[in-house]
Amino acid sequence: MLEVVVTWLAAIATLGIYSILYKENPFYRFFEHLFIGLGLGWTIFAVWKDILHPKWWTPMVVEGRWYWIFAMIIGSLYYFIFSPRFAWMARLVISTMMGLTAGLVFKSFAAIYIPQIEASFRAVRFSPSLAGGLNNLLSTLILLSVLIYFLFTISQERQPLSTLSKLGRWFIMLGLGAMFGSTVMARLSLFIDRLTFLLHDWLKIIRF
Amino acid sequence: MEWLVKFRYINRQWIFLTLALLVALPLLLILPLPFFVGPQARGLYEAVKELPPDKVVLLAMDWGPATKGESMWQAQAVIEHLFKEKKPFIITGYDILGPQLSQELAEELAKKYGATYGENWVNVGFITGGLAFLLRMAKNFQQAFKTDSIQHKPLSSYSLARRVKDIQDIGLIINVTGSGSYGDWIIIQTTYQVPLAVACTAVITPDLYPFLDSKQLVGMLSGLKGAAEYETLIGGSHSKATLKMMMSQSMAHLLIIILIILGNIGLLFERRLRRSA
Repeated sequence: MLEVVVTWLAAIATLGIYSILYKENPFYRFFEHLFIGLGLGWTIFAVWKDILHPKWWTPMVVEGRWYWIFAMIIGSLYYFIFSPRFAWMARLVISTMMGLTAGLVFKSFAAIYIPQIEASFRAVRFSPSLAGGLNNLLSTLILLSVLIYFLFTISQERQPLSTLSKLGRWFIMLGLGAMFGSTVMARLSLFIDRLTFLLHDWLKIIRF
Repeated sequence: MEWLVKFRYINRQWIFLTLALLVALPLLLILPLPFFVGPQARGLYEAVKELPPDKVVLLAMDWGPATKGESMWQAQAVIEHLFKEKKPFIITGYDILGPQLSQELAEELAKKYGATYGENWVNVGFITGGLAFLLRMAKNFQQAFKTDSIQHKPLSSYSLARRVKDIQDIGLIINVTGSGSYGDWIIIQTTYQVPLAVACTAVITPDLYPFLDSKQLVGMLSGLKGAAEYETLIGGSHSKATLKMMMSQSMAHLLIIILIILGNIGLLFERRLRRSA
C-alpha cells in the first residue's frame, strides 16, 4: 500500500515539474519549492547523521575528547564576516582555508595534467599500424593548431600560422559541437528515465 | 515557398509533445535498432573481471536524484556485475544521497545473488572534506571512516572492511558521478597508481576521453548508453530496459536532427525572401 502511495506521489510530482513545458503555473511552483525544501531538509539530516554525530559529537561528548569543541569555535569564526568590526576574525579562517586549497590545487595540477602532457607526445610512425600512425598524426595536428590559435603574442597573419590558427578554431568548434551533442543526450536520458517511471512503475503499461 | 519559413517558428509545445511521443514509442513497441558496445565499457568490464582476489573495489557514488536518469542505471549495472563476480566492494561518495541510493540498489540486487551486508559489501556513507579527506583515506582507511553508515558499527567489526588498511588494498576505484568530482579521484589514481574507471553523465564524457588516452582511466561508462553497454556485457537484470531506453534516445536524436535541418531550411528561405523583397 505504502509503495502505491509513494509511486502516485512521485508521478504527481513528476507531472507537476513537467507542467512548466506548457506554461508557468502554480502547480509547477509548488513542486519546485517542495523539491528544494526536501533536498535541504535531507542535507541537514544527513550531515548530522553521517558526519557531525559520529565524527564530532560522539568523540567530544561520549568519548570525552573535549578539545573537539575548538572545531566548532574555529568554524563559527566564519560568521564574523557579517560584522565589519570583527571581520578580521573571519579572515583568519578564510586565509587558512585559502592556503590549504592553494596547496591542494598545486598537487591537483601536477597529478591531473602532467600525465596528459606526457600522453600528448606521440610517435608518428606508420608501422606496425597504419591507422595508429594516422591517429597520432591527426592528434598532433589538432594539438599544435589549437595551441597556435591561443598564441596571442605572435602575429597570426602570415602563413603557415594563419592556416594553422584557422584550423585550430575549426577543431575547437568540433569539440564544442561534441560537447553540446553530449549535453542533449544527457538531458534526454533524464527525460527517458522519468517517462519510463511513468509508463512502467505508475501506469504499468510497459514491461521489461 | 513561404510555408517553408514556418519551420523556423514551430510552437515549442508541439515540439515537446512530438518528443514525448517519439520517446514513448520504443518503450511501448519493440524497435530493432542496432546497438554496439564500445571499448570504454569493455575496459571497465575487463578491469572488474581481472581484479585480484585479495583486493576490494571502492565505489565512489557521487550522484543524486538530479542525475538519477543516467547514474542510477550505471550504478545498478556495476553493482550487479560485482555481485555476479563475487568481488567485495565498499560504497562511499561525495554526494549526500549517492551512498544512500546505492545502498538501496545493492540491497535489491543482493536478494538475487544471495549477498549479505558486511561480507560482500560495506557502506561507509558520504564524505566531506574533498581531496584532503581522500588523501587521508588513502593513508589510513580505518581512521578516516571509523564506522559504517548503515549499522553504525566500527569498521573493525566487518571482515571485509578489516582487509582495507590503506589505498593499496583497493584494487579498483569506480566513480559513478554526475559532477566534476572525478578530478579528485584522478589525483588519487595518479598519486597511488590505483586503477580508476569513471561512469559519468553524458555531459561530462568529452572531458574524460583524454584521460582514457593517457591511461589514467581503465574504462568509462558514458551516460545511459554506458549503462546499456554494461548491462549487455554482463547480461544483467535490466539489459532489456536499458536497451529500450537507448532506442528511445535514438528516436529523440533523430527528431532533433530533423528539427535542426528544418530550422535551417526555414532560415535559408526567410533570408532569400528578405533579399527578394
